[in-house]
Amino acid sequence: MIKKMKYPLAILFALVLPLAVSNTYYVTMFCLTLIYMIIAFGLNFITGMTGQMNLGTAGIFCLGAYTSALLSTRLSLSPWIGMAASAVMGLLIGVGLGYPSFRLEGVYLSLTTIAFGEVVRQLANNMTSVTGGAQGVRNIPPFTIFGYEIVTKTQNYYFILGFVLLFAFTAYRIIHSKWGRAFMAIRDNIEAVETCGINTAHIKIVAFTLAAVYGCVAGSLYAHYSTYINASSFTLNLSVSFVVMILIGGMGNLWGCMLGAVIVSMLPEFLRFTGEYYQLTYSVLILLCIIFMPGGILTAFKRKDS
Amino acid sequence: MVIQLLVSGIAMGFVYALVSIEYTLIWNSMGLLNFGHEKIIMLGAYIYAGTMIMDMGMGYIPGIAGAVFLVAVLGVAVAVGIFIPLRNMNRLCAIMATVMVGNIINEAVRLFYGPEAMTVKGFMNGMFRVGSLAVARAYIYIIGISLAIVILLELFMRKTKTGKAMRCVASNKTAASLMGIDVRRNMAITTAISFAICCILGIAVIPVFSVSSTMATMISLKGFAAGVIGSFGSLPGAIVGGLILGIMENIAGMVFPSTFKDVVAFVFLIAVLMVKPTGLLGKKQ
Amino acid sequence: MKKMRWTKIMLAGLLAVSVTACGGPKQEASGSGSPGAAQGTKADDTKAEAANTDSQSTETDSKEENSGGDISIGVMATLTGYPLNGEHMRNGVLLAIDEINKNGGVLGRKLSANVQDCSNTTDIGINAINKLVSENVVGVIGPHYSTQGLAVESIIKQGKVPMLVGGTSPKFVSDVDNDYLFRIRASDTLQASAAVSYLVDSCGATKVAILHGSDDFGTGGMQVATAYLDSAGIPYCIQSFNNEDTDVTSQILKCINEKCDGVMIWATEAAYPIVARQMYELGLTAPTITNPSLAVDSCLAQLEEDWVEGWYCVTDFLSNNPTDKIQNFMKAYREAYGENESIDLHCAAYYSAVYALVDGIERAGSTDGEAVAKALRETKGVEGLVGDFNCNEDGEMIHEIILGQCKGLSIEYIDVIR
Repeated sequence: MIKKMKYPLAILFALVLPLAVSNTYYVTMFCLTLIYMIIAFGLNFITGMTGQMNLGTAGIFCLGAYTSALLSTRLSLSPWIGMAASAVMGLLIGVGLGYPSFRLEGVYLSLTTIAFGEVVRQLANNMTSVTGGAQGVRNIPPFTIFGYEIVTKTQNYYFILGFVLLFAFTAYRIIHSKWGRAFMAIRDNIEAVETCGINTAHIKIVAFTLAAVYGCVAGSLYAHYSTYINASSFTLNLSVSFVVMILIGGMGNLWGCMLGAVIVSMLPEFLRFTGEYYQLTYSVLILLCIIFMPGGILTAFKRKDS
Repeated sequence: MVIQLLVSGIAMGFVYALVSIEYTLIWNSMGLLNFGHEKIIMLGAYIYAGTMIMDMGMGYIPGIAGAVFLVAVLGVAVAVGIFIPLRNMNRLCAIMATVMVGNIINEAVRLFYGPEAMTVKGFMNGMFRVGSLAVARAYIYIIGISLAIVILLELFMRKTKTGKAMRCVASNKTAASLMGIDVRRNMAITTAISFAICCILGIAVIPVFSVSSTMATMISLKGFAAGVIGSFGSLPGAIVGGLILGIMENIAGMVFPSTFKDVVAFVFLIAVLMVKPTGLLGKKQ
Repeated sequence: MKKMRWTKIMLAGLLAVSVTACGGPKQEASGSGSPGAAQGTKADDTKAEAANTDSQSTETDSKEENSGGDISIGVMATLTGYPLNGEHMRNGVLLAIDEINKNGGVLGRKLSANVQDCSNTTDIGINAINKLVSENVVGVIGPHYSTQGLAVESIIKQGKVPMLVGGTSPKFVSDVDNDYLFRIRASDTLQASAAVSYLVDSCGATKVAILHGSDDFGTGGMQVATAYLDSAGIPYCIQSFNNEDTDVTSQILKCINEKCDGVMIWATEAAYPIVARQMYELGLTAPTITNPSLAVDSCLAQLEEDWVEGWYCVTDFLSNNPTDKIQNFMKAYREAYGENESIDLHCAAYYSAVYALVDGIERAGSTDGEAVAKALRETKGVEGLVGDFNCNEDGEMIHEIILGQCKGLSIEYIDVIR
């Protein structure tokens, strides 16, 4: 009964949430969590399902955010065009990052992605004439729907929620398609996949591209939602937290991604009562989770049921 | 002027080389990439500067010995408690666990030593001139210490029983345990050595960077890059990679605007990986 | 195996509890009176304890905004992350609050601090300010970094809470139109132009090397300086470095090649040990002037005497200033936090900021954000440790900066530039 109803129930919960909790502090946090969910969905394809370590997600996110923000502030284009451009940027990154993954495995790939993330951050910070440098991009216009501007946090929440649903649905379809099965097959046994005559390089590029498009669109949403971006946010630490998200919730599983995004973005906030110790407490909790529930929180519970 | 750049490039290159040696040890032994190593380097520097020198007023040499000992003990604890149980797990979990260990150490250091950066006055400082060339003493020390560590490590690996066992574990764990090598104990020793190198490295760079919570952020990333550029998992590869990276980024700082030198370094890393994924000294696959 | 399962369940439970705390923010918001009351008693005996175990005051305090409770002041401090000066900032604020409470509080009520970490990343900063605004603080002190201030500035405008920032970026005036934004330190427009004009006028520099951090702060200072040099027709050479950089040889060599005879450094504390050392080693010994970071004790403590002898710097605050108000503050601070505590501009600037805010609250006669902001806008002649507070139409409150020279690793007073 509950199993069948979980999708409508989850959507209903998400719709009612900002009505029940109207405090801006919480709504802002929910918005950010939703944006992170989209990134987690994307990262899930490449890291969660295909098993390729990607530590350059912050770079993807950053490029998406800057593409959209610069187009709409410098050229005064509509944010929608900015978002479309971000998606195209995602395609480019996906192919660009996917290409090395033909030849590179494991550590090499994770170092390539780290290098990619660092290059993007440093360029965003130092190419002052293009990106505004360390002072960031200010006054990014918000999205408009039929001439109606999305300004308040609650409006933003519903707007982003729409995207989350769309992307979750797409991700769900992809996971249960031929691609999705190929992704997981690569993670589990790449030799077997190759002998089946599937082009693994092609599949990996698809996974990278999906991750990059998701990340870039999330970046675009982030830029227009927060109206101010600067390069100092998009660090390696951020990439690491994205990986923690999909790891802690349950890899390869959309519910796991969502749970992970919620935990990573909200847990530190709710630990604020511990004062100076909150980052420490957070790190310890996550470490314990990784050690005792390596498959993620969801899998730990599933095992208990059976 | 180019020679001046070479001097600091070579010194930085040796720092990168040491970083890559230190994480290579753990990688070879357990197949685990220690992403927390940046914080271990910092911890070593803090223990030496904060506890050994400032609080206990030790001399330089006993201070170094004490700090290295403490960090090595921590290495054993981390290995037994976290790294060894994690090694058979999903690689992703293991890497994230090392990151979290790093975060915990970072926060613990901040709470214990306070937020302010510090330094050890008069420690390996000073400089000398060769013609118009200015060379910091610290650079000479760094190069000397690095070479000493590399030679000692090589001797240890080739001549002692434990070292041979470490090499055996690195190449084949099942065979090693069949030969009667206690693989877990061996891994703990490897981690301790790796942590000890981190600590020495942290202490060696104090006169150059001074001690702060982000002192090792860049060198740890560049150290990864250096290892990959040379040849992942080999000692000579680490040194060659480190030197190439250090010299190249300094020259790049002269040609391009200086802030882009990290970008050049990372782009170079990606380029090397594209052309020769096993690194410049690596064998063909 | 059994044990493992229990650990898992407990862990999951722990996580669930912490996360579902969001399910019940409503109850939390309607809050019981006890934390507020506890806060009241706490405020009396802050002192040294406050320095160490501040976790209590970080707790969600004084939810009730009725006349009986404390007046809560929000503090955005960089307690985690890097660079870390949040502790000094918080100590300064708590000391001021303690003093004010001893003298009978404000409007017959006690003050309390609501300290939130902003970790120097934008997202955490935004969460912190939202939390403060949602907990009905009367005003916010901090953040120290301009990028964060710029990121959260729209939130305080919406929430109608005055914010007293210490970020010195010129963008606060040029790009932002916000009636709730005040600045309690001299802006970079004043600081950097004072620095560069001293270099040109008094040191006779004919070609200036500007070494700056590539962050927002360094870039802002560089822009002010180049604008001044452009108008004065003096050539210059700009070299920047990243905050993570461990080697600035190439930047310094370029400055030497350009034959610069005056150097201006604009960067955060972390850069000085590297930049000063390499300048000394490579022989860039032209007259040098820096931003206030050099005058921070913990920064000076990392330098050798030879490296910085004779350097000039502009600064908000000098701890060896012999005037009574500074020395009394130093004494009170050391009494509260210990003899060996280093005291720098962060302690002093934000200590004074509390007095400026309290002055505003008193003149407004209420804790209403709009009224307080209006009163703050009319601030005149409030005495502070970093200069007297006089608010102009841009929300700038401090209009003076000290010029000092480094001698024997301590900064000696030369002049005040207004």
